[in-house]
Amino acid sequence: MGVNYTNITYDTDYPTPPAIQINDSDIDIVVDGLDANVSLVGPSEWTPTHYKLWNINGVTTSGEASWVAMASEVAAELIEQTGLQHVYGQFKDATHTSDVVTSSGVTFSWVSPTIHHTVDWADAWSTIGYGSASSATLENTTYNTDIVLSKSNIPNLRFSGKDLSDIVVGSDIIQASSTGYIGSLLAAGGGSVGITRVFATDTKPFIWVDKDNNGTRITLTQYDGSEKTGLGEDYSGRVENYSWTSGTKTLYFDVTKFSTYGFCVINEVKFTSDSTQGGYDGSGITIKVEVKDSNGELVEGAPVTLTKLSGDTIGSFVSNPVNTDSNGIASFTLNLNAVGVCTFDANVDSVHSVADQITWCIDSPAYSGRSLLRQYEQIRWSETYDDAIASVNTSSVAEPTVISGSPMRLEHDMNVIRTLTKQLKGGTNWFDDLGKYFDPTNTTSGGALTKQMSLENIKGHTTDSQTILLAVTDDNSGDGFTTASGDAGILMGITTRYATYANRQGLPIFSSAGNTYADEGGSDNVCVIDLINTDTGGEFVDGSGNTIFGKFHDAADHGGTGSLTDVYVKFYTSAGPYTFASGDPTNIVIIYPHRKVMDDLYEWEWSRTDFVSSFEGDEELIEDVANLWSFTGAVNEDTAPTWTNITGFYPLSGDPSDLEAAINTLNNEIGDMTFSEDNYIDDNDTVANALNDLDMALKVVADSVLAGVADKYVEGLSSDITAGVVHPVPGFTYTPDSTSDQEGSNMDILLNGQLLSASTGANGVNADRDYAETTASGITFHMDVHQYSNITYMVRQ
Amino acid sequence: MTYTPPSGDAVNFSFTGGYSAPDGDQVHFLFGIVAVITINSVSRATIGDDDNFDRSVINWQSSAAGSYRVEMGGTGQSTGDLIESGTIPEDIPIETEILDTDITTASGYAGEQSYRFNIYVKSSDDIWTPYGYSG
Repeated sequence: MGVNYTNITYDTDYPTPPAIQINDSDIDIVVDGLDANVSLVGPSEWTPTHYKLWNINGVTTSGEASWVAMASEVAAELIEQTGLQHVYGQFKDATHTSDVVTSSGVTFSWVSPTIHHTVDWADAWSTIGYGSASSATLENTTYNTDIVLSKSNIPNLRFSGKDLSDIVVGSDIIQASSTGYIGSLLAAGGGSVGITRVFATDTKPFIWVDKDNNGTRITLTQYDGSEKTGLGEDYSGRVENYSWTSGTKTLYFDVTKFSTYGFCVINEVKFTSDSTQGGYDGSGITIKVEVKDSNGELVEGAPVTLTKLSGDTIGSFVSNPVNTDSNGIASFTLNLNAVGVCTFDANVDSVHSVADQITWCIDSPAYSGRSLLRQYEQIRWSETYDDAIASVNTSSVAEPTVISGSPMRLEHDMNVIRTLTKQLKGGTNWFDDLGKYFDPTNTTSGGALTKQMSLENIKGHTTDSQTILLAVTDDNSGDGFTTASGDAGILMGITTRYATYANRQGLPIFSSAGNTYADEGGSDNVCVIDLINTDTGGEFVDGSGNTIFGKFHDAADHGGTGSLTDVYVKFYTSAGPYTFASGDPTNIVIIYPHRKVMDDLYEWEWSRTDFVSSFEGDEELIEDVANLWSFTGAVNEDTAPTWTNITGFYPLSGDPSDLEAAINTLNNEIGDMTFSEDNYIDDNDTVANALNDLDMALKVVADSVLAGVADKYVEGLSSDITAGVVHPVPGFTYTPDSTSDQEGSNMDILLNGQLLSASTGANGVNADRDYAETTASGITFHMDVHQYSNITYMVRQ
Repeated sequence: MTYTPPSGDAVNFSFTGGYSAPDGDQVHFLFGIVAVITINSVSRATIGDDDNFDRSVINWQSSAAGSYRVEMGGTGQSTGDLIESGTIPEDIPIETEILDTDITTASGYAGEQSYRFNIYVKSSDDIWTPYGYSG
């Protein structure tokens, strides 16, 4: 446990003289070095002029010690021994000699630092005073490397017992941890470690550092050893005091931050691609050289020298050599002054350019706009390949006069062509192969794509060479062509749609004269023409049922003019030419095929042929089937109807397998609608009419019957009924009837079996008979009726 | 450094030394790395004004790297007379020399007597070693 404070007393009387103290300490201390300061103060009673000390500087006894002129502090070397030791001394003047004074104790304790096996200490610790040494050097004799650890350069540096094993020297690296002992001291207190390395060659080295110890090397120094520009905060200031002595091949530098450092040399010198390779006599051109080190980084400040290897002397350099800039480029200006060609070499420290630069000088032409130089410039820049130029289909992009202020270059032209080529053929790159397609005429490789896609292969397969057969109908403006018995054909005034020498889209025509018509000299390779009977719409057949067809013949052979004016349709049967006979159709329509080039095909012509008759027809058929299903109640895959109520005596209890059987069953069940007497239903009535007629007739009969039937109610009296008092009828109502001579017609009353008579007048007011129908629910007897009597009511309404 | 108590745990703070917060005051807790100072040796517990006896060397080290201040007197960082300041690496002993003139020219000088020298180090959590801190 530590504490962060201590107390020190200030006392002007301190120390009590005489006194001797080692290393400014009045306590027993432990030291790791043999060098010590001894502080002295003589007796207070007199002023000493001399002192002597022993047990230091190899003197171990008072007798061996010599008197020395008085001083307040002396440097001394402790005795190299283990355990506590003291310094002893005496003071004197001319008359006094003090007693022996003993210093506080001091113990020498030394532990050699731990180091890596790749290094050794350059000096034995005993020779440099152990921890008293002001510096110590780690060395690797194999790789001629010294690492100087100096207390003056590293604040708080101590050696005894320290772990310095992170400091490693290899064939091409010097490495130490930034978090090791020395690294921590440097990080906390600044300072540096001096490194000396002697190389095998006098090639000037550059220093690199491993970026974050991940293998990426950053070159830190320029050619002259100063720090490269633009290193950034992480790498700037790591290396200082670079010093290269080529004679001794010795490099010295200080490292301020530990990491992994190594060395590289100039490795590559080359002319840049944008170096001007030639120019006109009297002009200046720029030649650039790029320099890289063996670390792959551009070298800054390297002196590049250009040397003419061969050829003519064509000019002079403004400067040569030229140092590389921060981009590793040395730019030379060559003023051309003589026509010719020469070859230059570039070199830095005997590293030469691999490819030399051929440079030329030509006379200025009279018209530089078409000069070889301009052509050269155009061609020279055609080095980037772009097949995705935006807006390539505009003239401003495809045919510009200038690009970014520079004349149009072949490179741009080429890239426009590349872009358009890709646009034409598709694909990812303009140079991609179009590939192959399936050729149905070459299927020996199965379904493999065997035919190369190319314009040559498309040739001969374009649509303008494709024809389709269309039907041509000629009905003579709707009237049909009139024929008569004895006709062998029809002369038609059509001018096209049959073959001519110039155009064979139409049918070939038979001609008696060779090479005059398109049937190739009467070879009769002509096609048949359908003849349609306008009366029946069917094909023309003769009385024997033979189909009669036609062929085109040269009209000139049949009284006409001929090609492009008219044509003759000659009649045939399978047996040969035919002549119309009596009874044959009198009006016919001719239908014949005509080849039409697909390019000339109208959309409606497609519609009238393939589309209407196939695709649309199929669709119509599908719709019709669906409608039929909907109509019948069937669904897909149904082959027989499904009936409900097919048990007992339902009409379809026999579960008929089709609609015809079901309807026949229903027909039988309904029966013959013929009746014997036709009282109420007429023969051939519909079932509904028949039932309606029965309903109406039955209603008439029922009403008639119900009119003569009364409801009967019987009442046994439990008490007397006094005459003239209204007696309620038991549980019913009726309709009093006071119609003259019809009184009481709606209800009969029997008293003990004796029918009574209703009085006349409204509600029997006259009381002239047995009772009055006083109300719908009560009657009034005109005589007393005794208990136990039986009254029977017969109510009709 | 942020301290996050384990989920569901409560953190109880107890104050030693009879500390009680004044009414209305808040108590701020700082959790972080505090440099522990170890004083390895002091060459002289007393110094005078004679040559070579007028200085004492404090050999000390810190458990954490950072800026440090050695002050005479005071009750916390920057409250005493600054004797020395700098940067110290972690666990590397350094030596601070105290001269008699450091004492006699300090504002807190009050004659011949004992003076307290406090060492403060600012840790990576920007916490200075407290006054009188013993880790």
